Amino acid sequence: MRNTKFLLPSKFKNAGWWIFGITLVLIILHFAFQSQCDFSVNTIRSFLGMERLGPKETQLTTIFSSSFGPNDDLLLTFIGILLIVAGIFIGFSRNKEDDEFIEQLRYESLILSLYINSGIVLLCLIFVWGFSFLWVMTINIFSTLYVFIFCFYLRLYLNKRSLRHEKQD
Amino acid sequence: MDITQGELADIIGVTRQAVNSIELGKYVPSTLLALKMAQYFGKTVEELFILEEGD
Repeated sequence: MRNTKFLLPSKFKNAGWWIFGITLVLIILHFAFQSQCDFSVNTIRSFLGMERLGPKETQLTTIFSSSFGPNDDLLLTFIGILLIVAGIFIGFSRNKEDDEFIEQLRYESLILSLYINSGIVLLCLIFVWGFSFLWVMTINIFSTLYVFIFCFYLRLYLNKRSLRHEKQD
Repeated sequence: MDITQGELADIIGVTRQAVNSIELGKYVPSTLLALKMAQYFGKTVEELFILEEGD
């Protein structure tokens, strides 16, 4: 009775929560020690001893030079990658108990999250101007995924709660 | 037939939430699930489910 071919096995869900937890810790550490720690491309290059090789001598250096600016923060890039991987694992892996009803909830939550996210972006388009809009776009990279996760788990919880109430009646 | 939602859910291989939502009319099951339920109760699908006005 499972029609969805694109979901990951349920074991990915736990892995997703672990990655999400680690990412949260990294975000807190990043903002807490922002002034003391430097994860810029230049620092990483010197840590790896790449500056001694010269920019034209290794393929890796060339990739580094063309993809990032010298002061770009690699930790933020790493956090972004982890957030997306965690979100995919949490949102798109099967539940331990999964059936067509849960699939329906998942599908409806996805549509709902797109509406909510688009609504928020619309409001931001109207009210947020200038450089601050860059923050809106940055958050928007992850927001659809995480609004979906929130909607899906909220609906799952509400359904389970209504079952518990029924048991007591 | 005296059966709980949980027992029926286990027999036809879905969650109790699904059975509960079908019973409350909040969720329309797939053909396969409707056939499984009909088979368990020894009835036809039309005896278990009816078209309502507006469907």
